[in-house]
Amino acid sequence: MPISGLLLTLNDNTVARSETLAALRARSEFELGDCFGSWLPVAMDAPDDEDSRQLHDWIASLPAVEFVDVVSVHFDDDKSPVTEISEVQL
Amino acid sequence: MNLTRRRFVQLSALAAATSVAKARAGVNVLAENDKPGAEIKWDKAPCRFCGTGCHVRVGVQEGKVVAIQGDQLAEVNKGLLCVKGYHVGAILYGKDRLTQPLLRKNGKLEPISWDEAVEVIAKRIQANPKSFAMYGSGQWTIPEGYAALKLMKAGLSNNHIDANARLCMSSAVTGYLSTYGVDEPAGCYDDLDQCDVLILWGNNPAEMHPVLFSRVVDRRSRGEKITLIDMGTRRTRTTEYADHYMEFRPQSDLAIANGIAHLLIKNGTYDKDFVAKHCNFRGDTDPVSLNGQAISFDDFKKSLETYTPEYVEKISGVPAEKIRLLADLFGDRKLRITSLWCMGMNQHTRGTAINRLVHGVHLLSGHFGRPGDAPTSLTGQPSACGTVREVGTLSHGLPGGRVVANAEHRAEMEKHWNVEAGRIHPTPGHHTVLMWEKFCTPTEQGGDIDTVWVQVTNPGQSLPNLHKLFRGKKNLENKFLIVSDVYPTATTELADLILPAALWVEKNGIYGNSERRTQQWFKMVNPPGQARPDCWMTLAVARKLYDLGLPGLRDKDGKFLFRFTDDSGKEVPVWDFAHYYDTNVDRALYEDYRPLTALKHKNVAPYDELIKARGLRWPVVEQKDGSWRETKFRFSEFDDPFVKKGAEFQFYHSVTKDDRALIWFCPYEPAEEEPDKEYPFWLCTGRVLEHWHTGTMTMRVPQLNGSMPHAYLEMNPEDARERGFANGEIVIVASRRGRIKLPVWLNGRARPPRGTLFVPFFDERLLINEVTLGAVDPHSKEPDYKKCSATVCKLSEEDKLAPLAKR
Repeated sequence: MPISGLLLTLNDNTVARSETLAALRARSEFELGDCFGSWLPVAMDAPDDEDSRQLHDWIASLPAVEFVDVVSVHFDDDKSPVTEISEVQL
Repeated sequence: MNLTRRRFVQLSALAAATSVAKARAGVNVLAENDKPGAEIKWDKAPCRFCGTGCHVRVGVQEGKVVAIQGDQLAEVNKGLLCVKGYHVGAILYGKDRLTQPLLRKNGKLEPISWDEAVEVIAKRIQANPKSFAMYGSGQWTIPEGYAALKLMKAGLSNNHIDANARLCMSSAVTGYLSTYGVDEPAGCYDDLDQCDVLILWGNNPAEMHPVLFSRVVDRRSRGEKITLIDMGTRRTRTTEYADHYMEFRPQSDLAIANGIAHLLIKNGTYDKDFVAKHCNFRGDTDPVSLNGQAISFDDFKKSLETYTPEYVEKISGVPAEKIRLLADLFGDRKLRITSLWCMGMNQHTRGTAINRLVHGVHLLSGHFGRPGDAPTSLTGQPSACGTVREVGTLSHGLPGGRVVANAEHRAEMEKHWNVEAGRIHPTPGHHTVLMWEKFCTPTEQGGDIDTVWVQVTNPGQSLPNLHKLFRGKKNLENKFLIVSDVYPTATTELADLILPAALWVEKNGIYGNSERRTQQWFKMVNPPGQARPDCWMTLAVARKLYDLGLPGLRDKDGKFLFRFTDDSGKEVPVWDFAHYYDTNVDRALYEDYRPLTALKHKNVAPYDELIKARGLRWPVVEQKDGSWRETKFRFSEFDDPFVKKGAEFQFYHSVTKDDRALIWFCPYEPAEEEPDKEYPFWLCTGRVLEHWHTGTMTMRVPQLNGSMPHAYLEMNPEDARERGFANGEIVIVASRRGRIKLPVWLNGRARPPRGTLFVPFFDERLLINEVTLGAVDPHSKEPDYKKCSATVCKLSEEDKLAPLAKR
C-alpha cells in the first residue's frame, strides 16, 4: 500500500496548469487538495512500488510540474519485502 | 463517519502535503495540531542519510516504524524530504539484518555470545594496544564518537582513530582552518533563501542535496530572480536549472578561482575596505605547510598576473568571457553571492588549495558575512560535522577543535578526563589511507596496525585503490578485522569478527549537520535479535579492558574511565547491557563533551534544549532571560555574540592572531594522474539520487533499489560510438590499479564531455574503487576520487589491456 503525500510545484502557465490538473483528476490514483499559490498537494495511492515509481515519473513529466517533493509515505503493510542485496540481479 | 484504514492513510497523506503547501505559500499552519492518527505514535529524528540534516517525523506502531513524514517544524526541510528520506524507515527492515555476533573460526563465521565477542576484542587490544586502530565515520552519533575517541586517546594513549569523513570533507576542514583559523562554515542554509547568485563549484545538489536545492527552485517559483551558475566537469540534473553552465577540465578549478581574483584586482572591483580591515595575504611554503607564510598584497597581485581570462580558458576550457562574467558578478557588491561545494572540491589532490581559493574570492570581493553572501561547504554524512569535526575523531584531533600535537590542548583534555599528565600521545596517529595501508602491509614490512575495529562505515567499498588498501588484508594471518554493522557489506566479507549494530531510531542519538546544527533523537524501537548500539560496544570493551587490568582504563583516582551515575550518585553498570538504558548514556557523554566546545566558540546547546528543538546552530549562547540563542552567521557582529561591538566582522580565531582572515594564493597544478595514450580518459566517481554512500541501506529499500538497481558507466556517446559500444553493453573500465565490468549508460541523467567517464560507487557488486587512484591532498590527506586516468574496452578486448601495476 504505497500511499504518498506529494507536493507539486507548478509553473504559472495557465494552459499548462489546466492540462496538468485535468490529467491528474482523470486518474483514480490521485486525490488533489486545494492549490496554495504555486503549490498543489496530492495524495497518491499506487497498487505497488513499481506503479508508484512510474506514477511519480509521470507526474514529473506533466507540462505545469516544475518539481515534485515527497512529504510523506506510508509503507506499513507494503507487500513487497525489503530486499537483500544478493537478491538483486545485474 | 466510518473510515477504512486505507482511506484514513490517504487523508493523512493529503493533509500532510496540504500543510506543507500552506507553509510554502505563507499561510499559517499549526503543524503540531496536525496529528495523523492516534494509533501511530510520532516522534522527531534527523534523517539517517546525508549531511543536510532534514528532520523527519517517525511513526511507530506496535514496536515498528510504519510511517515517515517530513517535519514541518524543521527549518532545514520545512516538511519536505527527498526520495531517500521518505523511505528512511525501511532501512531498518532489510531481510538480512545482522542479529548476532559472528567470529571467523577456520575460515567460517560462527555465532558467538556478546560476552565472548567483547572478550575477543579486549584481549586482542590488551596484547598490543599500540597496533590497534578504530575507524568510524560521520555516521557515528556524537556520543558514540566521543566514547570511541576517549577510549583510544585517553584509555589506550593511541591516536590511531580516524573516520570516513577523512575521505569526504577533510579538505574543507583544512580550507577553513588555514583561512579563518577555525573549522566549519560561517554561513548557513538561510543564505540559500537570500542570495542573488548561487555558484555551484563541482556540486550537484539537485541529486545530492535535493531538499536544499528545492529551496532555490522554490524561490524561483515565487517569482524571485536567482542566478544559478553550475561549474562542473559534466552536465547533471542541476545543470538543467542553471542560467550559466561552465564546463571545466578536471583539476582546473584552481585556475578559474585565480582568474576571478586576477580580474577583481585588475578591474579595481575588489572590496578594498573589507580587505584592508579584515584580511591578510598568504602563500605556500616549500615544503607546503597548513598555515603557509605571509605575503604582501603586491606579491598576491603579482602571483595572479598570469591568470588572465585567456590563460584560464587555455587551462580550463571555460571561455574567457565566462571568467569575466564571474568576476563581474563578484565585483558587484550590491549582489549577494553564495558558493556551495561538496566532494568535487574536497576529493581533490589540491583540495585544501581550491577550498582556500574559493574562500579567498569571497573575502577579496567582500561577499562575506551578510545573509546570502557566503562560501559554504556541504557534507555527505549526517554527522561529519558534529561527530568528526567537532568531537575530533581524527588521528590528529581532540574534542572542540583541539589537536594532540598541542601540549596545552592535551593538558586540558587530561585534566577534563582526570587522567595523569602525559596520558595523551603527542604524535598524530595514522590518517585513513595510511591506517589501511599499514593494516594491509605485513607486520615485518612495517605494517604496524594489526587490529582494526570498524564502526558505522564500509571501507571495503569506500576506500580508494581497494586492492592495495583493503583487499591486501586477505592473506595476512595476524591481521584481525572487527566490523560492527547492520548488514553484511564488502567490509564484513573480510571481517574476523562481526558485531550486529543497532541503527538510527533503534538507539538514542545526536548528530551535527552541515550548517552547525546539533540534532537529538530518542530510541523509538528495539533493534532486531542481539543487535546493540555501537556506543554500548565501546563501553563494554572499555570495561573488559579495565577488568583485565589495562592501566589506561583507570583515571587518576583509580576509577573506571567511563563512569555513569544515577541521580543518587550510584554508579550504573552500563557495560552490562541489561543496565545500559538505566541511565541516559547519550545525555551523560554529551554533557561531558559540551563544555569542551567553548574553546573555539563552537558552544553546542544543552541536551535538554536539543530535546525541545529541531536542532540548534552553534554557537548557542544563554541569554539573560535563561533562553538559549543559536547563531546563523559567524564572525558577523549583527548575529555572532562573540564578535566585539563595533568590529562589524571579527575572525576571532585568526591564524595571524589579529582577527583577520587569510586570502591565499595557490597556483593551479596538474593532477596526480592525467590521461595519456594508454589510459586516455578521465575517470570520476560519485553518487546518485536514490542511493546513499555505499548503498548498504538504500539498496535494501525496494523502491530505491528498483529505481537504480545497479552501477553503470556513463560516457559520451561519441566516445562510445568510436569504440563500438551499444547502450547497455557490458564493457571493461580499467586503470593501472584494477578493472571492472559495467554496463554502459548513454544519454542517461548526466552528459559527460568527450574523454571523460563517470561511475557511481554505491554498488557493492561493482566496486569502482578497485580502479581509483588514492593519491591524497598533502594537508588534509583526503584522496582524490574525482580524477584518475582510465581506459574502456569491449569484453573481447581485455587481453589488449596493459597488465595491472604490481600491488
